[in-house]
Amino acid sequence: MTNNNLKYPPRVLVTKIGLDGHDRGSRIVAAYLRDAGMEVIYTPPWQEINAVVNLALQEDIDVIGLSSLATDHLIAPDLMIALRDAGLDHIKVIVGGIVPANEHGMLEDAGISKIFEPGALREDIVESVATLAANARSSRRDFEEASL
Amino acid sequence: MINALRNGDIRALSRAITLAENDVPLSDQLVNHKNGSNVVGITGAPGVGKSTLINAYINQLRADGKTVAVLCVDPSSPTSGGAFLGDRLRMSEHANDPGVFIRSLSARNHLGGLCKNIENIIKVIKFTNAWDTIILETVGAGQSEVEVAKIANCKIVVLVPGYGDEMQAMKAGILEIADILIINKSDMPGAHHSAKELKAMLRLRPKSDWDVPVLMSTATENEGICELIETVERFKVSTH
Amino acid sequence: MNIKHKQMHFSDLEQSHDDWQQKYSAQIGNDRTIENRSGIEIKPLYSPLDWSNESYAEDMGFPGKEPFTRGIYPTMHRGRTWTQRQLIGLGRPQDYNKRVLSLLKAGASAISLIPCNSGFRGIDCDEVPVPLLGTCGTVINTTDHMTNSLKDVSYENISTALNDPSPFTLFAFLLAAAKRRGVSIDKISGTSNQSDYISHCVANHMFFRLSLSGGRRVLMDHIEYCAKHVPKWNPVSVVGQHMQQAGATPAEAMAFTLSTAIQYAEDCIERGMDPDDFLPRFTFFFDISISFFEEIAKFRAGRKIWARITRDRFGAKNPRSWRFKFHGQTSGADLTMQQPLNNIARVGVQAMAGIFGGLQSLHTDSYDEAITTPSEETAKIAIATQNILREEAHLCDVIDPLGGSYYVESLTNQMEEEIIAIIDRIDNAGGMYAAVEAGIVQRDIGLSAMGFQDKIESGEQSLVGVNCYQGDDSWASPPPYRPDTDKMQKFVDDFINFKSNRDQANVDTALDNLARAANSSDQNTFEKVVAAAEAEVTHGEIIACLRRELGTGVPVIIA
Repeated sequence: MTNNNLKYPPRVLVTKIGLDGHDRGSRIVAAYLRDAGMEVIYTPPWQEINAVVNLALQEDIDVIGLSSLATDHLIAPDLMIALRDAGLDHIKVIVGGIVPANEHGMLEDAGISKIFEPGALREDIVESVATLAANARSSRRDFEEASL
Repeated sequence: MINALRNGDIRALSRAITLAENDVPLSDQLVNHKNGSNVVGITGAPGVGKSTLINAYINQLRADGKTVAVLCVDPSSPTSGGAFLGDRLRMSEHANDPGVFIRSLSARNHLGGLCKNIENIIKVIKFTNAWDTIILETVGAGQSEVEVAKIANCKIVVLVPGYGDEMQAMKAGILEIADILIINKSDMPGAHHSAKELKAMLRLRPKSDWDVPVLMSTATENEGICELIETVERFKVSTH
Repeated sequence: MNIKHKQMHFSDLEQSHDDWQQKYSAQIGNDRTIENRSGIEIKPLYSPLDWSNESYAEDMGFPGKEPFTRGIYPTMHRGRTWTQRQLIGLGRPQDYNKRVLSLLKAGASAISLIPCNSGFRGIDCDEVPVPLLGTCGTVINTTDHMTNSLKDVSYENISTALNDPSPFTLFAFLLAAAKRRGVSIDKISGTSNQSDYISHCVANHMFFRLSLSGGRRVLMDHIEYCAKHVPKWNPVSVVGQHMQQAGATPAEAMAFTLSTAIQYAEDCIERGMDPDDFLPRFTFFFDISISFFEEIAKFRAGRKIWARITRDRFGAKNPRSWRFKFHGQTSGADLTMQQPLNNIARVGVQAMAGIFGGLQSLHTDSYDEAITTPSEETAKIAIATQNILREEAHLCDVIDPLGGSYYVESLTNQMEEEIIAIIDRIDNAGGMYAAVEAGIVQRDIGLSAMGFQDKIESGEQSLVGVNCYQGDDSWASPPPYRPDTDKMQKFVDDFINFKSNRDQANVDTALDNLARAANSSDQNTFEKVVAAAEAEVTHGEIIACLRRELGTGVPVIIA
């Protein structure tokens, strides 16, 4: 497993927000990440943004992977704002799927860490998520103490 | 962290569970904290509708004004160690309810089906004093039932009608640990027959103060849930 | 079912085959094993040793005669060509109307309507972030919207396919709009595409609309209603397309679709309907992948199996009940975002597979369909592709032109065996409904999706521009279709106004009646959906009501 010296496996949320229901891609990516040793929380499509934020909060998620086949990435910036409002800005968000070239900038500006297009390689996805999970943990500013 | 936990900060709770899960030892104040949350273990083979039953159970607890924390333990992949945690998707209607906290845990190849630090995780949740009921969902596979028995105040085993041979195979474990048996999907043919069979098996069990009841539910229709909750309450009273 | 295909053995033929085999092996060196998408091993050569026409009459017969291997009509495409039915959906009703009129002018002979994803989700436009509205389909929430979308389109002469899952609100709006225009509804023809609630549940697209059991109930009501009041309408389109797009192999997609059709037929029979009353109106809808010969074999085999199922299993007497009528759509999953113009070539090959497979109606994808809702220009290229295949390439001149090919016939038989084995497995699991409840089908599809992805990753399956011949990214990607958000906002505001100006008492009564019907066993829910459409109840309101009474769907996702 690519673990970048993490003490425990990356916790990744693989989900879909918005209106589209096609989940072939998100299921495959979820399986890739699981097979790379990560703990993957998987949801069906059509999640509300608030629900995703609450889920990320309760599950202590490091990375959120959003799958978008049909324009749902247009509301990814709203998720970024909602995460920030919930004090979860250490969480890294990636988008995978069909994102037309002229809309990459809009997502990058909103703070999306990475965009994966069709044809992205398994090892690139896995490595990127592992690195982002490590970044998420090191950029955390709340409850840094590791004692109970 | 400790203060935030005590104040009911969800971020702190979530973080603290991660730490406990990853072998961080508990301080004395967490270990010694007394709290009366009812820890209910719900176990059963894959496909019996545990998550749907729990969803209906949460609905009813919330209607009664009770708060509930749910821990869903899923097996991990023996080769990669990774896990696909999907139980909570059946409880997604509670996603925005502050009175419900759901956390998915990987068994991380811990023998026995639960995760290694589950007792400490439950202590962390109890320390917050915020959750009236703590539900522990596990896949019933042999040993895990025995481990649940050590941790939960009340153990519910979920079955479906017509279990036949598999039920025979499971019955030893079930009979030893179950405080309540429930036949879910009771609208399926054979439900009453299965109940009769189970009751017959239970008669072989040594006499005790608590007669293990065999309940019926159809969780998708919300049927049998009130009775389940009443029975859990009755059990709590009888064991005190 | 157990079908044995006879093989002929001629000793001298075998001898010359062996001679060839030796030379082949000597020259080819390390021959690789090739499997098609359904897992059937493909040999380098087929001959009479693999297939002979000994059982021609029984196995193939002539077009228009069961088992219809060579086609369901005596004339097939030489007579009436396939229907050119392009799926369209975009923007607001008036945007859709403009596109439809232009496609009809370009040669489309029937229309279809894809609603906005908010519609699939079961909600109205005022519950959705405006930037998402109309990006992938048309926003149709009321009878007024339907009226506007079909302005200047003949209701009687153009057949309409509505992508309209349970509870068929779009169809209800269409009927209400027809009544307003004074068109008698028994003249309306077309298909309730996507009426197959099982495929939706399995491919996880529309499970939030209604529970599985609710979907089952409403579909039966819908079939009964159509048989009684809209006899030219096909109330059921059993969909293999979703499953194949979600990852099912062609054989699985065909088998699961036939198992679904078996389930629906059994449910109708259980309701007391006669197979010959409903089977003639069953239609099918499939994905056509680029696995050319496999797709042709899939369709030929499926036709044969359905004829036997309807005749032998259900005892249908009317030959129309045995006919396997299907619409094909070229597979979007085969299209690539990289080097998008290449998709024109892909679509051409896919379309040919569907035509040689004997389809009745065809949608060809636009080359930008992997990226966005097609533009008017790219949609015209897709239609032209069909025109070229028909007019210039003369693909319609001969019926079932690949019939008798050793390879195609042998593969048809192998696909048939594979499909029947899967149908038997579903039967043993208690039928399609039970298999879906248990997650068996979802699991199989997930595994197949993964298996195909592994082949792409390993390079065993080439994808031009993706895992080979890549790098030329200078090709212009067409700009994505995005509706004007100001206009869309205005549209939503108008919708909100419309709701507050309706006769609310009418709306409440219609919804009460719908709820009551859902809770009774002798009332037809779909009849009440139509009444609600006439009373200006909205799409979202109808679904919310039925969801309350019949339950919400829960996805079965198997890791």
